[in-house]
Amino acid sequence: MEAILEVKNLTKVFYKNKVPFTAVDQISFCIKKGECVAIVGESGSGKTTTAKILTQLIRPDAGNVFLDGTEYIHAKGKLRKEFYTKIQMVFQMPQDSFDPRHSLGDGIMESIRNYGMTKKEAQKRMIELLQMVELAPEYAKRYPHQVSGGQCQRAAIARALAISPKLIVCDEATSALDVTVQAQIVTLLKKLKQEMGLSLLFISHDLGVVQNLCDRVLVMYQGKIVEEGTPNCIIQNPKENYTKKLIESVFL
Amino acid sequence: MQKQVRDYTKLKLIVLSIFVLGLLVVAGLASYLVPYDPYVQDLSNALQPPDRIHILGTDRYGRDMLSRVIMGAQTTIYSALLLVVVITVIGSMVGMVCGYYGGILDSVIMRISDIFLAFPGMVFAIAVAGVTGGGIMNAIIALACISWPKFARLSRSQVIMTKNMDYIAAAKLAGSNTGIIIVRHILPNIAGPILITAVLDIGTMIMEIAGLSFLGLGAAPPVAEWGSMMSNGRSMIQTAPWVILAPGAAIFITVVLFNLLGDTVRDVLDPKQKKVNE
Repeated sequence: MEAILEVKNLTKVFYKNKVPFTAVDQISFCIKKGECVAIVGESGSGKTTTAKILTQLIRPDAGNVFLDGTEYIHAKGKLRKEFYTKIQMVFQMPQDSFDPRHSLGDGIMESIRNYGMTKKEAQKRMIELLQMVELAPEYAKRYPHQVSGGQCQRAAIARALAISPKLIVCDEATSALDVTVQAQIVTLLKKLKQEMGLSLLFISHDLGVVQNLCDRVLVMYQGKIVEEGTPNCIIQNPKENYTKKLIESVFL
Repeated sequence: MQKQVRDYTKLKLIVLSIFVLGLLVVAGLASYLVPYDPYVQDLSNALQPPDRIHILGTDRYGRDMLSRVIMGAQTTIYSALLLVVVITVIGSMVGMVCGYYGGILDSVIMRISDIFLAFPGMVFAIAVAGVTGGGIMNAIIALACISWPKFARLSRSQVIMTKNMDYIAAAKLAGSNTGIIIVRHILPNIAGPILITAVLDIGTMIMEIAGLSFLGLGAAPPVAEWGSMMSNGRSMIQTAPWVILAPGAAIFITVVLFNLLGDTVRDVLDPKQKKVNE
């Protein structure tokens, strides 16, 4: 199968009081079309930094990222806009990811409007999107603080789907939700993935959720990918010590 | 209970807004409302104590004090408003650009604003007004020079806090350009604190404009302006106290009204800040 995302030797170094700290250390991986790949690891292992680099919210110090065959890192203007038609992101804190002064509907419509749809068309599309994530149309008028975390995360998924991207990066998208809501969101993502042939990069520290949703798992530790395999393979037969520890901490 | 507090605050806002609006209308229509021409001198009638004909008495040129206080409201309040609008707009725009882009531009502008903040404001304003000469416009420019850094600092810190929020990242991912992000997402979210500071500053600015005029560096005679009116009357404080009391009371009432309004706007827009203060 063709790769939708190819990452080669990606590196990011942060400086804290002029002391270098390598957050992401020469990682390489790829995601195939329609595949769901998980990155797991503890806090500070470089998962979120990787997600932010992939969505161009921060710049890498070295390495290449090919999205759908094109290198977009350092893209500006039109090219950057085109980049965001292919990749979208769902954030960890659903309520923080919507502008508190805009309704959820406006938040979902922002990208649709930016890509040249009229207001009427955008509104129609927005209602469709809400249906897709199983939210009633009246949620369009609500503000982020007026809905629950789960509902807000559904709206965030609708927003990510708005311009039909090929890859969605979910940065700890279920971590801030309680367990039953987590399960609902995972089911929804599974459904969308099957129906739309979406590729997912699912960043999490929760191996249980990952096992349920993903085709392949990358284990990250101190900025490096230390192990790779199918969820079952990794959980039942971890090779690295760190992976063993991580699994023990989840399945007590 | 919580709702009652909220309702009370809203009622306070409405009442104070009506008072302030009334003040602005009186100041705006001053030339139609004055019972006498505030500039016509009548030396035979000089320094009359308040009576039925001249409710607030007359000054040493026989001009009606009530008319001059009303006329002075126009000069003082509208110059203060103009000044606040100018420093709010310029200051926040500079601050937003600095906060959003950061880098060398930010460092340079912030060091300049540090210099302005470190300098005793009134002294600097007196120097600027002294160099540019008298006149209310020059007083406004002088005060604008020293007052914009406050708003630049405030909006800069607010932008820095806001620009790393997830919803700004989400807006970037939605393909919005920097202009849209600043105007549609950052500005509405930082407008509250800036607006509160602006309203609270109106009272201060009224006092500073009156202060400069009192020193003879603001409104030039014979323009009716509360500060210069007080200055003119200060030698007669024992013989004809109404000449200094009338504009003084006008400044006092206006500043108190604007400050109360500012506090109430803060309570309505930002209830959290109120809790911290109390």
